[in-house]
Amino acid sequence: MIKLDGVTGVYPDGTEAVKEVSFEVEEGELCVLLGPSGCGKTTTMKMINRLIPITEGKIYIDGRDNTEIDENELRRNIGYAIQEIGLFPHMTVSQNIETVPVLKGWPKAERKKRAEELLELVGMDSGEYIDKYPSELSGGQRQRVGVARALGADPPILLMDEPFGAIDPITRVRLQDEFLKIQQEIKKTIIFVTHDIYEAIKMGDKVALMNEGQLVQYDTPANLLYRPKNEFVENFVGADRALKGLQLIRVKDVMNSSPPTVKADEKAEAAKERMEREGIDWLVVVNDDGKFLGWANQAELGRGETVREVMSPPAMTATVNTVLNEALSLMLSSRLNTLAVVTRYNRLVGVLSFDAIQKALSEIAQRGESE
Amino acid sequence: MRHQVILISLLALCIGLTVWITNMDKIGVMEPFTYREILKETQRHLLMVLIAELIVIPIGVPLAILATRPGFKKLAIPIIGGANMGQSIPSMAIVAIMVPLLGMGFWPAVVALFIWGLLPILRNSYAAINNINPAIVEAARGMGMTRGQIARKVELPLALPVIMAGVRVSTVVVVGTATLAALIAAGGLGRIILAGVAVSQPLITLQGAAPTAALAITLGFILERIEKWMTPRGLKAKAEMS
Amino acid sequence: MRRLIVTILAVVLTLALVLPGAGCAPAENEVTVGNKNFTEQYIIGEMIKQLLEDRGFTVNLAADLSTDIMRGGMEAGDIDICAEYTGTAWMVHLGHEYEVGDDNNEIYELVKEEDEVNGFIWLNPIWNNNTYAFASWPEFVEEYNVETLSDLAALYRQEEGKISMFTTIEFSVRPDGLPAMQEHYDFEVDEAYIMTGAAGISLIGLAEGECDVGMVFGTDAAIAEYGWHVYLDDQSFFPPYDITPSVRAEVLEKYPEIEDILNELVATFPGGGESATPEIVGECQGIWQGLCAKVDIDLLEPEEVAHDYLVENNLIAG
Repeated sequence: MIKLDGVTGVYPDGTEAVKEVSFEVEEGELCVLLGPSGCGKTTTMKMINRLIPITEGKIYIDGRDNTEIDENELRRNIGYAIQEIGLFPHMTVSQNIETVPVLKGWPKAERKKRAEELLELVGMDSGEYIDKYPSELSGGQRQRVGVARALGADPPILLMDEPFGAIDPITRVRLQDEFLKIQQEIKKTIIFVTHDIYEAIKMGDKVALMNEGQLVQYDTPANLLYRPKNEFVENFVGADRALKGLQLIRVKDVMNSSPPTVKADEKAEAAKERMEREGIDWLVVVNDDGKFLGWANQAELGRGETVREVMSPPAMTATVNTVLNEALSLMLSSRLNTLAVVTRYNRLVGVLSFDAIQKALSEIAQRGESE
Repeated sequence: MRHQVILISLLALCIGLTVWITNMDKIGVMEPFTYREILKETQRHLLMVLIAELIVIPIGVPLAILATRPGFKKLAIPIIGGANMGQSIPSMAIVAIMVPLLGMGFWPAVVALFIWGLLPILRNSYAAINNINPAIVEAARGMGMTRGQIARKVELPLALPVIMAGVRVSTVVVVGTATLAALIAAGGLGRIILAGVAVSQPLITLQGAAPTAALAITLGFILERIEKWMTPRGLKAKAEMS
Repeated sequence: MRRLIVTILAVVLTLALVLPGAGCAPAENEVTVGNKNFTEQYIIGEMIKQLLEDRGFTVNLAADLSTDIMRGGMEAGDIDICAEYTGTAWMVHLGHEYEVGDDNNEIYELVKEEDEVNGFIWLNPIWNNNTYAFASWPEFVEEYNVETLSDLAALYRQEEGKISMFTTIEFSVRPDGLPAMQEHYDFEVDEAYIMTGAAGISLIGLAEGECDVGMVFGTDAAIAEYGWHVYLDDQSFFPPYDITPSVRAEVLEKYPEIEDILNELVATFPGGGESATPEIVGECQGIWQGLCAKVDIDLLEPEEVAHDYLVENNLIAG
């Protein structure tokens, strides 16, 4: 979908920011441009939509040389989201999102509908926020609107320059997760620039690690971690690559999808008997709709009539897409050795145990050693 | 709110003073100027100010905007520097220079007012555009807006309030400077002020100065309202631009 | 620290600028001379200053004053010597009505007598009669056949006041100015046809043709330069304005030699020290028109013009 062929970028003052970079991104892939400051990753990205001119080499988008198209026309078909976001303060959220559709001449009703949809897609209540101004939003909300705006005219390609960089770490994780969910739905071809290795491993289908203008290694995150090409990559990735590797595995890959459950209104006695019979330590408490309500263990069950009365409250949960290192962190901080896995609407889909994580970790370690 | 109360009080004070003095029988050996004369000079004063502003705005604003465009950035220094110089020359001197070149009367006075009123407009318009958060312009560019669209849809609406503020400052300054127009036979409230000075009667001077102040306050007030009206809602809420 | 230094510096500088002038007691042989803010006054001021300096005095020159400020300065004792006009003293300072018909000599004597009581000694007068006058281009005068102010007044009545006249702001509002002139000659200038401006602009106005009738002073250089016709004041409306050095009595007591020194200056002009006659006045006006021309037209400095005059008349060495 996007092909860079020997791309070189030289600034007017002579500095070579990008040196003969070549790689290819498949349609629907999220490719992360990673590297230390000044490595040329942002410059490379900006050459795709020609914000920075290409000195030598070519960039092909869907087979066409990107210099053959009028540059404004080109940009209207490429979504663009930057770190400082750059929302237009004098326009409402809706007007911001509708920017490119307006440039493309979409009819009003269609634009408005699209804006509302996109706002919902990025997790904001369109009724409440559609007519607000950027100054009335929080940082995280502005970032979401920025992404929505980039998706305004449904471009096939998205360029994102450290879009979550200016956000606090807590919100950032949430935004990353949500963005991955969105990407699953929309399946855009994305170029994502970051200097954060964790973010790169978590988000990317492919990672292009750059240094001083050159492409050092273009590979899957796993390969970057376990088959680093040279010392630079090794150092950049860090010695704790095994732990980092946990990022590559998601809860859904190792969870128990049919955990023992019990309905909240069942009798505690009956539940206790069941546990003794089956030899299990805990039950997941759900309601009639399957929503996760809490935990029940044997000791507590003796104390009340129904399960509901004696269960322990929910504590932390994870989603199917949560990466294992986060799940591990959640587990450690809630002092449980199991974690309920729920959907966005809190419906129980599984349970993750500490053992499962340990097993995954040892598999990774083995893989690393076998090199 | 308090700000407006103060303005209106000052305005009332000025008008009150004018009325009080005009109603006196005699001041020293002179009679005060009549209402008709004050009104006539006020009209003339206002006309000079309005025409000068109507000329300086369509010249100053585009010129300043031009100085912010890539390729013309070098012009910024001579343009702003020149305007700075125009305002540092005492207004009296500008008036004096005007006479041998352009003669006397209404239009030469307007030219002098133009020179004097140019700087606030140039400076504000230039800063208005330059101080727009570059991320906003970059986002606009990256989304595929042409240079013209960026200027029209993004830069101008954001710059407009500050430009308007420049117009307001320029107008108020010009109201004050226009008092000197009387020296070169252009009329205006300066005639009354200078008459008072000529016969050493401060009350007569006040009879001219109070309406001048009232004019400045009123024009400033009207322009401030326009400025507020032109500020997009999104900018009024908070100072931060993202 | 830096702030402290800057503050101290500011205070010191301010004091340095203010103190030397502010009310410190005059030294030995030190006097203050004042003059008004137009050409003729600049010249006489410089003449008096340079002459006194030549004779051993230290002179502070307060130039650029208005009539009232200069008189106020004399009354307050801040100014010791000035060259005032007999007419101005009579009407403005002494508050008398000018009676039409009083001539140069009479007014001078009246002023001298009365102002002595006030503590101001009027020395010998220079009969240059720098009074208000009105002038037009010869073409205008020929077309409408006007020669005197009475003729002009008749023209105004005929044309319903619609002839453009340019005066100074001061003249247009002073009760003894335009209002009195219109009453005396029985005419009125239409409001829309009157133009006012700073002193000197009326000359430019007439020269540029912005007006038909322009206000001038008896000794304006431009009159000779352009060949304008000055309307004869046939009903003697305008009071005589003869420039005369006057000194505060206390100062003259302290330095009696000033009287002789300044009378020496007066003596160099036609009729200096004698009575006035129309011929003498005419001659004197001519000389002053010439002196003013050197400043206004040849653009020499009043200082230089005064110096040259004093040298030519052997009052000071070259």
